[in-house]
Amino acid sequence: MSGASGGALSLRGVTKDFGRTRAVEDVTLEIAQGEFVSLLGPSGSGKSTILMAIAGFVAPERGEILLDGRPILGLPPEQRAFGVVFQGYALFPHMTVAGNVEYPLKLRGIPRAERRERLAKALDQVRLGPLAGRYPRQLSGGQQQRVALARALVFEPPVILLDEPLSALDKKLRVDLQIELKALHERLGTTFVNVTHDQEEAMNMSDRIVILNEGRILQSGAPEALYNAPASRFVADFLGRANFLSGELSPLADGLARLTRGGAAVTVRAGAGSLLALRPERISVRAGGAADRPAGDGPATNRLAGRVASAVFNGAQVLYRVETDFGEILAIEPSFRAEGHLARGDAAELSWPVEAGVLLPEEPAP
Amino acid sequence: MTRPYLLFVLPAVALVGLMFLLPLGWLAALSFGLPESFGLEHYEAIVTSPGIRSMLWTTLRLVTITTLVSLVLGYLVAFAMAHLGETQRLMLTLFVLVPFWLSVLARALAWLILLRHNGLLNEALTGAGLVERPLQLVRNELGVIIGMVHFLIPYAVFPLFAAMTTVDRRLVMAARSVGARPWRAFTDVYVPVTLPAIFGAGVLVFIFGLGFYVTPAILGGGRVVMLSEYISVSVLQTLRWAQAGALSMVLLLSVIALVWLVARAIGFRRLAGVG
Repeated sequence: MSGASGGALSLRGVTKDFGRTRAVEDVTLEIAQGEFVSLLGPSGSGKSTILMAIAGFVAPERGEILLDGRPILGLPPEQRAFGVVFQGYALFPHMTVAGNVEYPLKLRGIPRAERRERLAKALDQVRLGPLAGRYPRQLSGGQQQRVALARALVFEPPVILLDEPLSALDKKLRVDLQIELKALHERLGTTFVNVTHDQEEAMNMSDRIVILNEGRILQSGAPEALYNAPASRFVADFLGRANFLSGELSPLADGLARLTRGGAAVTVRAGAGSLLALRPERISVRAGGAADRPAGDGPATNRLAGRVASAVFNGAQVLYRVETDFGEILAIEPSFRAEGHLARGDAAELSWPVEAGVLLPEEPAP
Repeated sequence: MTRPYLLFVLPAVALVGLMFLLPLGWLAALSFGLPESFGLEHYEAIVTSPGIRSMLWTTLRLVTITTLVSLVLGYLVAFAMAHLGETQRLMLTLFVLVPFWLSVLARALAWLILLRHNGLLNEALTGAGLVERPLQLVRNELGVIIGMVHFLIPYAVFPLFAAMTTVDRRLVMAARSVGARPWRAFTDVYVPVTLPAIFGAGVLVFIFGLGFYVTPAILGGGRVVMLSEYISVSVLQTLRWAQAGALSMVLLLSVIALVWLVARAIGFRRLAGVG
């Protein structure tokens, strides 16, 4: 498998209805050769439908799908021959691990000797060699997942499609397999398209995340860019956790603005709307009424007084819910830094750098 | 009384004991020549008598052919039922069930009317000039097979349908995605996955077929004598009760053996259609 074996996919205006419901609405997406892209969204967001349309199991009403510039919508799934890892793995129960992984090669009429060789290589890649003679029902979930992966990559497809590949596994195993999958992707150079509802999984593995809701693409970008610069409340909320502060917005100089609510005011960078999204881990929590508060509070840091509504220690972090004039705000402090943990009822002062907040358009809470 | 419900089944137990197990035991005793003597000559006759051997061979052959035909046709119907829309599925289920509810006698007579020399089918064929002389469709083995297949298809359809609805659709999709054409995915994945059900349905149909009486009697027109009819004639006409008893025992034990075989292979709960 050479480094340039990946295929480039492009989806243009893909639309799919199921009965009267529109499952996918005008999705346009370019996936580069060798890229690892995750389609991320809640259930019903159309992400699996898009994947199945690429695989050839769903025929879109409108739109075009191209592989390396050639339209593929007219081709049945077996001629597209993308490696697909299905949800629940869909291993053939009457075949052994070796039988499952060898099946795509048999279909291609590859001679026995070469088949053996490629089978061994594929099993090796997913570290399944010793289990070749077992039946799927004799394997653990993680092992089944690897068989499905081996079966999908053994015939060296240009694109590998993964439909919620890790959703059935427990959390620890999931993280291990994410790392493995990512390493495999880097070794193979094949294009990977992954569908998931798990934002952590998407962030851990992907070069790029495409966020979907109700059949539409809301935003797409590298995990860090999406996390730090969400374009909508939905994206900010779905990818990680966020506080949303709303109030009266009044412009200041230098591209800044002031957001006021009740007796409190914070400084924000001017943006597309009037809703301030703020990641909890960017907020520091100190005991309230501290004497060392610098005079002439600079615009670079916001400070907000409040009262601790709850404090939860979860090992690495302390989660504070603090009641303020802007409503309840969640702040996450690394527990080693949370000096003398505050307790419920304590006066607290929240602070965060101005650039940590992003102004978003107002939209109803999801 | 800790389990008063046990009382509720006592009448049924008594009924089965008196009306079924007792006569059965008596029949078994008769088959060994009891009470006058004791011997295995009636069982020997099953192996040595040319008449009985030929009758058993006819029975096995017809039931095997019937089973195979019912399985193929039943598989097609079950497949259609499992993969059609809700409305069509309901219609199809109804079409399979309606004849199921009709008396076996009525059905055998209906086939006789359709298939006999001057029946509907032959009239149509000769009338259309497709055949010169009426085809011999009943009062022979073909007629018996047609009648039996018609009766037994539902017994093949329902276990197959039940199994097919539990087949993960993604299995076939997985086969397609790695390069199998639809037919190849069907033969390589779908059929093997439904194989236990095919086996179970096959044995079920075979067992029912072994005991068929009315259909062969009417559609065979006395020329195709199968096991049940032979037993009936032995009891009612030739009065060879002991021979009839021996044959009945063989039939009973074959059926028990077959059920045991399937239960071993696919589990009794699945055979019975529960769980």
